[in-house]
Amino acid sequence: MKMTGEAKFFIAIGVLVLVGVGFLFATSARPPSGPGATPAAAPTPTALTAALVDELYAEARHTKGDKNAALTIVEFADLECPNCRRAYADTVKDIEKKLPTKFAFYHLPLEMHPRAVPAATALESAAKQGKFWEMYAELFDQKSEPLTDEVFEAAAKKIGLDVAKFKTDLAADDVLSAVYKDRDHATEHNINTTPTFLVKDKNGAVTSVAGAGAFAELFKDLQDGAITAKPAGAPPAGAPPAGAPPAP
Amino acid sequence: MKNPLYNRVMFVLSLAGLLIAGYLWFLHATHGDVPCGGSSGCDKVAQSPYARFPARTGPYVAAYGTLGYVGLTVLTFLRTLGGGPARDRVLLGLIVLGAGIGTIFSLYLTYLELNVIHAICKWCVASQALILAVLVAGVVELLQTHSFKSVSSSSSTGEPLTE
Repeated sequence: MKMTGEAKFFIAIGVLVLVGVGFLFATSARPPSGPGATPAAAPTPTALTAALVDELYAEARHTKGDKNAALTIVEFADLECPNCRRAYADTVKDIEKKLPTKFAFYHLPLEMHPRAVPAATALESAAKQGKFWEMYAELFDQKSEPLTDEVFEAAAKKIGLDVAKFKTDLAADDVLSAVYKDRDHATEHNINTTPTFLVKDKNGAVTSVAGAGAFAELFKDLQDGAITAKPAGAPPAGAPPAGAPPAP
Repeated sequence: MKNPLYNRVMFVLSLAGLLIAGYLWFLHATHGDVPCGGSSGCDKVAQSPYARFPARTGPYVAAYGTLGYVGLTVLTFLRTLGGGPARDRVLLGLIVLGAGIGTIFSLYLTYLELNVIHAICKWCVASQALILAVLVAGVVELLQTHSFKSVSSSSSTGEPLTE
């Protein structure tokens, strides 16, 4: 089989492309990073209003607490985020014992956390058996790192799920889709930090805080379901904390 | 090969697809961020369980794409080496088959992007367009130059392969 002119033409194109790619690799500079780098433009925050908090609560697939409560809290969190776990342990765990609250949860799995999406699907799989909040408590209380499939399975057994069904549901498309729909809500409202809490008090005043410490302070200052003070480190009331660096 | 233009087009498209798929595979292997022209769709797709096939556990989809495009590039190159119409027909058939499988797989991935992941990766869209274009070019050539009539005709007259 002799080398035809067409074959030589193809080889020439291939060599040219290889040389071009090699040249691009050799000359491309890495984007600047570190303290001196120019930060990416922060997204424009969506205005935070009482109507938005009500809408997010109404659209949430996972809510708990007293539906007649005057205080509404919407949480955006990621199960692999240490700050979210701290917020759960410090405040969220006992929130309803302290104040009548309407509480809603949205998944916001951050890209930096490789086990955040699998953990969120574990919550959704548990939700299919009506035990979302039991799994939520179990996984936020979880001390194991990382959140492996074995950890999910052990949690499923502990809260009394049908483990076979739970494992099947983990891989179901609708389960993953539910997680991403939640994340889309966060993206839509420029919420990109975990945990983020949107709060509407009994007077209709609203605020948002990001981080475990800020939420603990805010909650401590909630007196009889009314926001009395802006906690240190909180973003300005009227806007979610968009543009803040994501929690590790 | 009566008209080498189709093969040239398929070669260039396969080479372009190879570059895209290879680049994405490289980024997966090095845990690099996927540039996406200002949107975060590429990272969302890359971070999803469907970046692997089978989902979560298998090799990266970009690896299948890279190997597929390598195969198409090699097949289009082999056609330039001559060897007779029967051999050329087999090679073109393999290209159409490969591009067909690639297109079906691409449609499945597009379905996942739209309905499950809710994010669009521009690199994936580009690759999907390329594999579809290879399929179209292959089918058009197959219909134009390798119908049963033309094959029997070229066989009986001993028509040489192109060049």
